Order: sequence, then structure tokens, then C-alpha cells
Amino acid sequence: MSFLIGTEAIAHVAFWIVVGLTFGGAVIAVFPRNIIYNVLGLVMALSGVAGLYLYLGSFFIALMQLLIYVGAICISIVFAIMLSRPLHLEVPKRSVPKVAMAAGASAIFFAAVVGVIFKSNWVPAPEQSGDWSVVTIGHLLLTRYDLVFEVISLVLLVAIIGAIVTAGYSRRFSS
Amino acid sequence: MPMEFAGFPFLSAILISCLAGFFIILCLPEARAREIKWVGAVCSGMTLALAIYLFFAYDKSRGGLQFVERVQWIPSLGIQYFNAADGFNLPNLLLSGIVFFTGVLTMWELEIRVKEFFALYFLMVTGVFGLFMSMDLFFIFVWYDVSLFPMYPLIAIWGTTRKEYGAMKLTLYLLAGSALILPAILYLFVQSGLNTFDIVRLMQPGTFTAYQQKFAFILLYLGFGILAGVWPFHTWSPVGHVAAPHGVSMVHAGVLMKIGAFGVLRVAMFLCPQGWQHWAQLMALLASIGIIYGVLVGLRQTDLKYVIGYSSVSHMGIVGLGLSTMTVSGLNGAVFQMFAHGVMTALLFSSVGYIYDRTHTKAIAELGGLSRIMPVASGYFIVAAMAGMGVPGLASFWGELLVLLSAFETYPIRGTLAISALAVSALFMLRVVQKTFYGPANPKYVDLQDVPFSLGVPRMILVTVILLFGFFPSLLLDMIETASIPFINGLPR
Amino acid sequence: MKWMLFSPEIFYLLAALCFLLLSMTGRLHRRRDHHIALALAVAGVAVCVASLQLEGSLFSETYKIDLFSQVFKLLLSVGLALVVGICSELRGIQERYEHEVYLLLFPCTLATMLLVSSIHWLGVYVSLELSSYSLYILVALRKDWTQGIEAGLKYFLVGVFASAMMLFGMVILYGTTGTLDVKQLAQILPGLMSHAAVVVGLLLALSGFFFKLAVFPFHFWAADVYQGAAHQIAAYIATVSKVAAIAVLVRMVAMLGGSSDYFVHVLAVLSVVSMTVGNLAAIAQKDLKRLLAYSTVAHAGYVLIGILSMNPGGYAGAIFYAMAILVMKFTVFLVLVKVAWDGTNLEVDGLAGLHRRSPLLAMALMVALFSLAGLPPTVGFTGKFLIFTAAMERGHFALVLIAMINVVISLYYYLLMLRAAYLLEPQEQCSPLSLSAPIKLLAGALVVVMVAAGIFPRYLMDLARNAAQGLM
Repeated sequence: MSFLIGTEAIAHVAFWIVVGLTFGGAVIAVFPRNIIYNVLGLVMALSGVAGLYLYLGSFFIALMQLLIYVGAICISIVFAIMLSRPLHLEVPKRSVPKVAMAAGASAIFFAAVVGVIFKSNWVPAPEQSGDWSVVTIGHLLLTRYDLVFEVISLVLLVAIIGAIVTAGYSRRFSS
Repeated sequence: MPMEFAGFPFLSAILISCLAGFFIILCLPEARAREIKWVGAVCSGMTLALAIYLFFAYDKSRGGLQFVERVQWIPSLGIQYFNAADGFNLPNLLLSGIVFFTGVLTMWELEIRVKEFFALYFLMVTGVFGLFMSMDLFFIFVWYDVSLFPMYPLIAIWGTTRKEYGAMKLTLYLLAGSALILPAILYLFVQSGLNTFDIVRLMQPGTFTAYQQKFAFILLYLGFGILAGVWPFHTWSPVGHVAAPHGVSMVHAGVLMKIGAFGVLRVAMFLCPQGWQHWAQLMALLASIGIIYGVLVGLRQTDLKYVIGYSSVSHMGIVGLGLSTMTVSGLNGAVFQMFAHGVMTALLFSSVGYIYDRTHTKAIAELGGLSRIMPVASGYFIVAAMAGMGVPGLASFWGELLVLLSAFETYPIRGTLAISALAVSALFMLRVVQKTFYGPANPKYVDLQDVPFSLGVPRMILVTVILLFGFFPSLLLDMIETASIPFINGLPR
Repeated sequence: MKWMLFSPEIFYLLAALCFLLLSMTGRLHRRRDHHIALALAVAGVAVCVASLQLEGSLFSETYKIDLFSQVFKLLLSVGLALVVGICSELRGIQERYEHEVYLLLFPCTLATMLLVSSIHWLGVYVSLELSSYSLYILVALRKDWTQGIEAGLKYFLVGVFASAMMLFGMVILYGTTGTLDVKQLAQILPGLMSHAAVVVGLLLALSGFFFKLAVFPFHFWAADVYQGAAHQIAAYIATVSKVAAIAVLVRMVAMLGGSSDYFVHVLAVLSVVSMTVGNLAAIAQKDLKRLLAYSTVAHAGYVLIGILSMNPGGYAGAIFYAMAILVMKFTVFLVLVKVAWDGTNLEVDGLAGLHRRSPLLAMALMVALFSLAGLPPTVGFTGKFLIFTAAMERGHFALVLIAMINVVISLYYYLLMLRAAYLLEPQEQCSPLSLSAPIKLLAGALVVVMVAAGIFPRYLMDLARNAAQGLM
């Protein structure tokens, strides 16, 4: 029982904790009827994913994950909820057949994916060049992935326009 | 584009005069109905003149394909614009010319939406001519559809009884036929490995294995057979004929159904002779059932156009029976019958058209005694009905005689049944004639006018043709034999 | 001068920026904006024509310019110009957002152009997102905002789901091969096609385009979105967006899909289900745009037949069919925009009396419908003919037969539309439609193109063939 002790064991335990955080967060994000709980669940799940990145040895991405998803996006969702309609109005009922069908479909998909994962021999992750520093990522973004980088800025522009337009709607809606 | 023309392209000239008519009519304003009709008459007259010229200019002693026109259309797929005339398609081209011209004249009294009617009419006839003259599978399919899709508006807009239902049923049935034809054509194209749609090259013996021929033949037979009114796929035909306006019924029963039979001959039998031999029994069976069924159902009809519609099913059964015999005389009879039936039905619909335009009814019971009021119009109908009975001296007699004789040899039982059915059919035509035209005159219609000379022209032409080929069948038979004898002799034994 | 290769994209980017500036000025000049947009769109077509023969690659070989991509860029630019051409009166759009229509149409077209050239999954994904985001917003701009928002939201949710699938597929591909570069994948994959993971990954990665093309099971958005969006926007989704999706599917399948029977079987099933579901559902529709949406689903099925044949003829057929879809769908939408000039939705019976109100539009509609149904001698028939020939060469006889039966089913509802336009008399007295001269010219030109490309398809076919040759 040597694997119970030592750094390896700690890493194992940490991994399963992180996985648990992710799954638990996802469940909380979907099931409770109070939307604030949903957001908190989302925060939890996203933090878990950040932990997974950390586990994979990618500090930069883990940091970005926390900064962007947990720090920015979830907070803005909370703001949006605060600014929108009161929460105590009645919520539409869940229709049981729909929930059952959704659960069934996702179960089938999950089973299929698990099957695929177990049936195929994965090529081991390419030997990391060891250099996943911010400098390298920055270089790559401005050379090989230049186009992608630029297009993302356009996506943001369009998204902002969309936000303005739809916000205009909701303002008219509430007035 | 590499081209090959044997002299002046008479065949293309027919198509061009149809299309010219189409475009001129399209450009004329709707209000100029008179001019539109004149353009129609002139252009259709031109096609008739060209068809007559071709019929007599064809060198019977030489036989084979003549007036060949060949243009590479899409070389990468081996598609050619390839037209030629032989003993099988010349009678049909002549028939189309006659029916087209007389059809335009029959619609002379049309007053609503004249421009659209004639434009679509010309488009449909272009497809008919194109199909009869083409020797390229791709173009045969294209012309098949071109001749079909104008039918929907033609029937649905200008038709009469249950027109929308009839138009929809007819269009869907016939295009279901094309849904079988296209896969079969593509199958043959791919299996041949020759990268060509040229019928002459594809019909060389040994191009297809026996299995491929059997497979493709049944698809092609059913596909084209729907259009030929083969039982049990005939149900669109009486409904469609009744619904259609008279000129369209004429082209439809007179020519379009022949397209189906001609397609079976030109595509299915030419390319898949072994498939033909394999399925001939089935063809004969369906054809005999069609003959008997058409007669029996026709007996019970009270609508004059339904009577003609079911008699068409029965007469097309004779064509089908002739095609199934695999003998020279059977083929001769089948092609002769196509021609004779075309002219005869055109005359029937044309004279019913005149009567309907005056009385606004097609019910046999109401019409009674019409021969006292309109002796000439009734006369036309009676001549056509006699031709339908197979009275000697009229064109249909020869076609039916040849088919039944050869069928009697090949399939004794079915042949006998078909002959007895035809005897019944004679009875039932006589009954219709008697009820419609003899007996006491219906007082409602006493004031109606008989056919004036100018409107009688199309019917007179048709009567003349029926009599001409009734007395001189060899005019047509010699022509057909130039194609049928080599074809039967070339069959694999 | 390597940047010359990128000139169409740069042009559309600049055009988009131009409208960004215009929208900031605030004042609405409807005619002026439309004229500027039309001029820019036509100039865009010219730029694409000029760059038709360019070849090369950019961004470390992740962006390929070849005849295939340039032909599609030309098609996309033509599609945009046509759609802008019918935007002269945007009555279906909120007045205060009319600027944004052009501001979003141009980046969306830019994104579709990036799509057809990208040969790196990352680039493909980001470009897809750009075009999708623009469309989500465009759909939501409908004047009747409840309709618009509902349609936009549905489109967004299905779209996001499809993107998630696509990302997941890309992850699986990366996990099995260690690269997302399509060129490298093309070298690695043939040896790995027996692995379930690769096939599943590839299918999932393509699901983003199944969504765009409205292939079953990603077709649920189509009817609601077409119905909820303004007519012009629906026209854009039905033409330009479809063309881009076909392009990506053709390129990806041509480069990656070879030598897997399983993959072909899945595509065949998707194709058969798409056409059957699309056609049967279309029969039941009363609303014209819903009907068109389901007919689009059916057409996606036909295109898939060409793609799954996986031979040059099939790819050429799919490319040809993309051209055909562009012209014939657009013609129907042109008629729709002009008949429903006030921007409200139109029932099929609303076409009643069209033959008297505007004979030209009625004729254009008739030709377009026969082309959609695939009857010769129209461009739609030639497209189907090429696709079916290619499928037959691979022995897919049953598939061709099923497709032909579907053609007959589809004819039923096309004939019902024709019946409405030519047979029915309108309920109340309708005045003749007044069309401007350019619109008349456009309708006439579309009819000529549909028929001429059906009768003399040689040049277009050779173009499609050459474009497909370059893929292999």
C-alpha cells in the first residue's frame, strides 16, 4: 500500500477532489431552481476545471481560467441577474417527459463517449516541449495563430454589438 | 464543339420552330390573343410540314438511322445532343406533328389566359418532339420531364372536372415514373464503363450482363410504363384526361402516352434485350389485364371523356401486348397502333371538345340525340369511335390485327382473351354512340350550331389521316419494317 | 506581395469597418446606406473575380488559397450582393437597427470566406463562431421583437450546442493524433480510420457544419429561425450560410474522410433521414418560410449524397449544387420579399393571384420551384444529376432511388406553391406589385441564369470539376 503515502498519493487525492468539484459544481449549476445557486455551481465547476489544467501542468491556462471565467464572466452573470426581473415570480414547471428525454439522450451520448474512450488507444500526449510559458504562447499567438487571434477580436466586436442590441430590447421590455 | 450533321438539320428545325413559337408567344402582350393563336398555328404548321417532309424523305431502302445530328454537349460526361430518325420514331414524329397542329386549331376558341396556355403548350410539345428524335439517354430523360411539367398548370388552370386533383395526381404519377427511370439510366451509364449516354453505342451486344439487363429493364419498363398507362399504374390517365382541356387531352392521350410506350421500346428494349426476353411474360400479362380492365370499367362510365380515357387504357394495352411478343409483326403492330390510336383519340377529344364547348356537359345521358342537332360534329365522333372499334378501312384496324395475330401465336390464352375483350369494347363503343347521338334530341340544345367549316378543319385533317392509313397501311408498315426487322434479327438468341 | 492573396478578406473587413463608422454617426439615411452597401458588395464581387486564379497559403500553412476556396469566395460574395440587393426596404427590421444589418452582414460574409480557406480546425472554429454570432444577432433584429428574440434565442441555443459538440470532436481528434492542422491530419488519419474515436471525433467536429446546413439531427432551429427572422436575413441564412457550410464539409471530407466505410454509412443515414424528414415536414407547412426551411433540410440531404460519394465527381456535384442552391433559393426569397413588402410573414396561400399582380415574379417563382424540385432543364436538375451520377459510380443505387422518390414527394409542395401563385384568386382585391427596374432586371436575369445553367452547364461544371480536382 505504498501509493497511499508520499507526494504521488497527495496528487491522486487532489485530482479526485478537483474532479469532484467539477462534477458537483455542474450538478449544482443545473438542478436547483434558484438561479443564484446555479451561478455559484458554475463558479465551482469552472474552478474545478482550472484545477484540472493545473494538474495537466498548464499554469497559465489555469490562471486564465480563474481570471476570465470565474472572475469576470460569473461575476457579470451575477450582475445581470441582479439587474433583471425579480426572482420571486413563479418559475415555469418542469415537464417530466422532457427531463426524462433529455436525461436519456445525454446518458446515451455519455455511454457512447465512454465506450469510445475505453475502446481506443490514445496516443500519449505529445511530449511537451517543456516550454508552455507565457512568452511562447504569446509568440505562437502572434505568428502561427495570428489569424485566429485577430478573428477573435472581431468576434468580440460582434458580441458587443449584440449585447447592446439585446440590452436595448430588454430596456424597452421593462419600461 | 465538334459537330456532325448529315445535311440540313431537319430534326432540330422541328424543335427550333416549337421553341420559336414559345418565345414569340412569350414576347407578345396578353391582349393580342388573335396574334398569339396565329403564331401558334403557323409554328405548329411548320413542325407538321417538316414532319411530313421527313416521313417521305426517309430512304426506306437504306434503312437505319438517317438525318443524324450530333453535337458534343458535355464531353466530360459523354453527353451528346444526338438526334436521328428511323422507322420507329418517324411515325411518332408525324403523329406528334398532326396532333400538335390540330390541337392548336382545336383550342382556337380559348379566351382565358391565352398567352400562358399557348406558351406552356409549346413547351410541352417541344419535349415530346425532342424525346421522339433523341438518341441520347440524358436528353431522353430531359425531354421526358420537359414534356411533363407544363401539364400541371395546363390542366390545373384550364381544365374542367376535378382539375386540381387530376393535375396533381397526373404530375406526381408521371414524375414517380421518372424517379425510376433516372436511377436506371445512371445505372446503365455507370455499368457500361463507356462513359457515354449514346444509345447506339450502349446497345452493342455484350455491353451489359444478363443480370444488369434484367435489373435495369424492369425499372425502365415500370418507369416508362406508368406514362404508357400500363395496368395497374394507369389510374392517373382517365382522371387526367377528363380534367384536362381538350387540346391538352389530345396531346396527352394522343402523344404523351405514346412517349411511354416509345420509351419502353427505345430505351428499355433497345438497351436490355435480354431483360426484355426475361420480362416479356409479365409485360404480356399486364397488357392483357389492361385491355380487359379498360373495356370493363369503360362500360360503366357515364361521362363521355371517361369513356375515352378508359378506352385509351385498353388501346395502350394493345400496344403493350404487341411490344411483348418479340416478333416482327408484333412490333409493327405496336408501332402502327401507337400512331393509329394517337390520331383516333385526338379526333375523339377534339370532337368532344367542340360538343362540350356548346353544351357544357359531358354526361352521356344528357346529350342524347345529338346527331339531329349537330350532324357533322357527331359524324366526327362516330368515325373516331368506329376506328376505336377496329372497323376495317380505318387506321386502327391494321394495328390491332397485327398485334392480335402475333399475340395469338406467342401467348394463345392471353391473345384469345384480348380478342374477346375487344369484341366487348366494340359493343360498348356502339352503346355510347347510340346513347349519345341517337334517340330523341334533348330540347335544351336544339338551338346549338353545328361545326362551321373553319372550326372543322382540325377534325377533317384527322379523319383524312385515319382514312388514308386505313386504306394504305403499307405507307406506314414499310417504314416501320425498316427498323423492326433488323432489330428483331439482331436479338441475342 | 503575399498579402494580395488575402485581398477579398481585407476588402470585406474594410467594408465592415466602413459601416461601423457610419453607424456611429447615428443619423439614418436609408437610401444612402443601401447604395453604399450595394456598391461595396458589388465591388466585393469584382475583387473576388479578380482573385479567382490566386493560389498559395498564408499564416504558416494554416490558410489555403486555391481554386476551390476562390470559387466559393466568389459565390459567397455574389450571395451577399444579391441579398443586399433586396435590402432596399428593410421593413422587417427595427428601424433603429438598420445600420447594424449591413454592419453585421459584412463581417458574417468575411467569416464565411475565412471558413472556406481555413485548414486548421482552430481557424475553422473561430470563423464559424464569428459568422454564427453575427447571424444570431441579425435574426433577433426582427421588427416584431418577440418573434425575433425567440428565433434568435433558439438559433443561439442550438448553435451553441453544435459548437460544443464540435469542440468536443476537435478535442478527440487532437487526443488521438496530437494535431489540429488539417494537412497533418490528412497524413495521419488514413492509418487510424479503423479507430472508433477518430470517426466519432471527425463526425462531431463536422457537426458545426451539419448545424449550419440544417442536417438532421441539427435541423430543429431551421423552421423557427426562418419564420422569426426578417425575410432578407432568412434569405441570407438560406443562401450564403449554406454555401459556406457545403464548402467546409466538402473540403474536410475530401481531405480527412477517405477510406472509412463506417463514416460513409453514418453520412448516408444522415442524408436519407434529412431528406425524408425535411420533405415530409414541409408538406404540412402553411407558412412559406417554414416550408422553405424544411425544403432546405431536404436539400442538405441531397448535398450529403455528393459528399459521401467521396469521388471527384461527387465533390464537383456538391460544388455545383451549392451554386444552384444560391440562385434558386434566392429567387424564391426575392419573390417573398416583394410579395410580402410590408415585412410580415407570408402564408403559402398569400401568393394568390401573383400571376396577375406580377407575371414576371410568377414566372421567376415557377422556374425557381421547378429548379428546386430538380426538373430539367434547370440548374437544380443538373446539380442533382451530377450528384446522382457520382453516387452511382460508388454503387449507392438505393441512395439514388430514395433521393429520387424524395424528389417526387417534394414536388407535391412545390406544386402547391405554384398552384397558389397561378391558380388561386386573392381574397381581397390586390393591386399589381410595382417593381423597380433593377429588381425586374434581377428577376429576369435569375430566370435566365437558372435555365441557361441547366441547358449549358458545361462551363460551370468544368469550373466545379477543376475546383474539386485541387482538393484531392
